[in-house]
Amino acid sequence: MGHLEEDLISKRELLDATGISYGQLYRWKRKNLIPEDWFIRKSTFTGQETFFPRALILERIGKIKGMKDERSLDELAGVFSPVPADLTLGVDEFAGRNIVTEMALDAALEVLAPSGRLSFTQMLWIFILDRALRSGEIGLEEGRGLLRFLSGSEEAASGRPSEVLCARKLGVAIWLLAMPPGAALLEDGAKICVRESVHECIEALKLVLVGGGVTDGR
Amino acid sequence: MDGEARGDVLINGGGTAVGGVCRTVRINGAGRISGDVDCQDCTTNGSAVLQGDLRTENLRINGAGEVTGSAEVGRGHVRGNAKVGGDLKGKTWVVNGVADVGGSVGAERLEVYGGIEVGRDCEVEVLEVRGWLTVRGMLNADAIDVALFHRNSAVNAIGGADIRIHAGRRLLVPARLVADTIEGDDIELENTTAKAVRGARVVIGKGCDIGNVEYHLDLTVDPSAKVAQQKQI
Repeated sequence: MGHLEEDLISKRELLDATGISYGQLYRWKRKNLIPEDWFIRKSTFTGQETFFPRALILERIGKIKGMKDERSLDELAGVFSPVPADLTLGVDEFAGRNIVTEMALDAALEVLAPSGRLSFTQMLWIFILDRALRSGEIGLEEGRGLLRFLSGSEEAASGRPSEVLCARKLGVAIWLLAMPPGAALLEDGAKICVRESVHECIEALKLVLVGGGVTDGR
Repeated sequence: MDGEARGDVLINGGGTAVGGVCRTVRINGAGRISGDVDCQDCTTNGSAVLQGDLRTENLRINGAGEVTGSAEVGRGHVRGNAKVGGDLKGKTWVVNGVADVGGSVGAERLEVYGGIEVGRDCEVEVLEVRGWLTVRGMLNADAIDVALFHRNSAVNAIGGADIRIHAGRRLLVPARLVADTIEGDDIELENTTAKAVRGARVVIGKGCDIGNVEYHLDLTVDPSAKVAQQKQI
C-alpha cells in the first residue's frame, strides 16, 4: 500500500500529539490494534525512524484511547480486525437496534431471506446497503441488486481489503467490488456514485454491535 | 480437539512415524515424524525431527528437537537444542540451551537461559534472557530483561515499556548487545552499542556506545559510557 509522503507523521510527533508512551504504542502493536503495514521504517544515519499514515493512525489512536478503559485490548483487537466477526443476531434483535433504516432492512430480508439469525456477513451487507441508500445516490431496486451481488460473491466476504463501488452512466448503474492493488479508469460520462470501504464498514459495524452489548450466537 | 478418538505415538530406540491428530507424542532415542502433528503433549528425549507443523498444549524437548514447519505451543520447555523452521507461537516458553527460530516468535512469556536466534520479529509480553539473543527483525516486548553473557547479542530494533540490558557474568571480554534503535519508557543499558536510544527515563550505563539519545524526563550517563549526542524532547 502506498502512503503519500506528505501524509506521514513521525513516531515522535505522534507521541507528542496523542500523549501516549512508547510502551503503549508497542503494546498496541503487539495486540494488533495497529496494523503492521502502518509502520513505515526509514533508515537514517541517526538510526531508524518510523513514520505512520497520519490520518489513519491519529484516528485509530483516538478510538483506542476512547475505548481502552471499558474494553480489553483483545476485544479492541477484534473490533479493528479486518476479519468479519463471529457474531449472529436475530432479525428482530437487529431491527430493534436501529442500526439500519427500515427500508434497507426490508429490502435485505426480501433478497437474503435469512433463515433464523443474521450472520455478521449478512449484517455487513445490509449495513453497506443502508449507507448506499442513505447517500441518496441509488434507488431501492439498485440496492437489491447490490445485496444480490454481495451475497453471491465469495470474494466480498473474504476479509481482503476491498471497496464496493457503484458506477453510473446515463442512469444505468453497475456494482463493482474493487480489490487493491489495481486502478480502474471510467469512460467519459460515467461517474462513481457510491464508494464504501469494506474494512471501514466492518469496523464501524463491529463498533455499533459491540458497543451496544451484543449477544453472541450460541 | 477431541482427545477420545486419538491414539498415541511412541518411538523408542529409533523409528519413524507419520503425523496426524493424536493425544501424546513421545520419542525416546532417535525419531522422525513426517507430516503435521496436532497433539496434547509432546515429549522428546534424544533426537527428534518433525517434518511439518506442530500444534500442542505441552512441548518438552530434552536433547535435540526440530520442527521444520511452524509450531503453536501452549507451554514449551527446551533442555538442549531446539529448532523451528517457521514461526513459533506460544504462551510460555522456557529455553535452557539454545533455540533457533527461522520465522517470528509470538508469546506471552519467553525465558532463555542460554541463547535464542530469531529470523524475523519477536513479540512477547515478558522477555527474560540470561545469555544471548539474536533477533533479525524487531524485538517488541512489554518488559525486557537481558543479562548479557557468553556471546554477543544483536537485535535490529527494540521497542517496549521497560527495557533493561545489563552485563551478566564477567568474562575476559564482556559480551555486548548491538542494536540499531532502542525505544521505551524506562530504559537501562550496559555494554550496549546503538545508533539511537529514545525513551522517557534513560540510564546509559558502563560500556555503552550510543549515537543519539533522546529522552523526555530523565537521563543519566555513566562517565565511562560514550554518547555522541543527547537531547531532551
